[in-house]
Amino acid sequence: MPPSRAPARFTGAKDFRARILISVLSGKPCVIRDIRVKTAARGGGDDAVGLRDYEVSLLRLIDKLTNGTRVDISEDGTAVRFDPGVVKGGRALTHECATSRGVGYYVEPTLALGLFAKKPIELTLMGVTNDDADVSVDVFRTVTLPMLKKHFGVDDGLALEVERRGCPPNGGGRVRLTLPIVKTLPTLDWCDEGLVKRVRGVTFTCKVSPQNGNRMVDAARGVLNAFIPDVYIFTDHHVGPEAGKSPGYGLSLVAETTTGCVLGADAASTACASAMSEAADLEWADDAEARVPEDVGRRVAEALVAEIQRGGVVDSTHQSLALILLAIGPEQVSRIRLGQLTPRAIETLRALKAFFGVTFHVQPEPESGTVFCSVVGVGLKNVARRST
Amino acid sequence: WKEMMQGYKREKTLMELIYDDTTGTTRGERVNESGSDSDSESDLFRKQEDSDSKMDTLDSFDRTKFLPEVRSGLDLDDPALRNRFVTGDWDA
Repeated sequence: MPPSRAPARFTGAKDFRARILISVLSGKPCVIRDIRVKTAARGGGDDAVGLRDYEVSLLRLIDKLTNGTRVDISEDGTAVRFDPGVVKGGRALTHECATSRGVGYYVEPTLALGLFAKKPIELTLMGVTNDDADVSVDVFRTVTLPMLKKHFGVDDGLALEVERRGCPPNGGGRVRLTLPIVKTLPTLDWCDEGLVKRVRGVTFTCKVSPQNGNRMVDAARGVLNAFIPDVYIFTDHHVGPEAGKSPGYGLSLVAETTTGCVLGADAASTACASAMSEAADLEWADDAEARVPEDVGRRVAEALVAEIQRGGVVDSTHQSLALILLAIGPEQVSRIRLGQLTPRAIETLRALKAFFGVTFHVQPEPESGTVFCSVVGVGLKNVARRST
Repeated sequence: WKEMMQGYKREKTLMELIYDDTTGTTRGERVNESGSDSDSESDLFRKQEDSDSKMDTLDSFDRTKFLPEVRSGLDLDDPALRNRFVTGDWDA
């Protein structure tokens, strides 16, 4: 597909990550204007205007992974022109993530990019491993990667290794992500979510009493055992350097279904700085200070049950990623069944249309509350990989 | 009945809800782009839009997890929920 050089234009900071990611995948430049101008005008002050440190950090990461990327940021940071280059990938890459955001923020776009890189990626990311706004490393390992392996046919060499934990606000975590490259993604007909057959999970405790882990497990079991007896939650206690720089604890749960779908939910005891400042009106940022392990456990378990209730083959966290991977699939009809779309998924659909011109056929199914999405992919191919 | 039909239609097509909005915003942007920024007419138009709650979402926080939103939709007593598990009550 010859990339057209006319940039896609957007306003506002929302869904920055998906826009940049799809821009790289499509090879089409993009211009984002008026970033947080309105936020500042509403009384956020001058500090509130423009790009955040984590967004700049994401752009730097993309710059490391690609060759020939040009980024122009206006002086006040309210406008970005992004000219994507070629994804080159490579080994022994490191990136220091901004600690105002979890590592999940960076891992997700890297994942989609890495599949279409010239060389397999081996990337070490440093920063906050678990927080409230982004997919945690545990869910990434137990939900995102199996989803890719099972349903998108990405073969071995896909791994995420948590070397150190890092809780907000100071982080100090370290994860190593290895990604293979693919030729193309498969056509998908993924509509049957099946029944939940087991729930697994892991708690982590860093620089706090390991007893907190058991308290989270008990609370989570209290909710889940009403539905299913097969619940097993590991406790993982960290001390010393592998616990990062800040104390904290958290829980992630994964529900496996009979058809091999995995749904996840997780939360941590502390919220990241960006979430505190930008989404302070939300519940999870409010009481972040006074969160006890029982609360975290119950909250995550309820969120997992709610994900199950929503239906769909992926949880709300992975809707956006699944839609992107579907859209860059082969030029055949792929179908997927999702739960009620999140605002982020809707923005992703819009961004996909802006960059690729791909329109999903979205069909709600009222009785189960789910949504069928079908799309003819753009047939993105990775020319670097020889077909075997 | 015409109004009813329109209302019905709007409710029905999620696709329109998703995609029509984008064409609207991009068109709005183009107008802003071609005319200079101090164009009084478009300024007026945009100001009106600003007061809407729609603008709140323009810079909305880019997050992956929607824990509170998801949990708020939870109905633990829903009998259909039990049947989403292999251990559900199949007689119910």
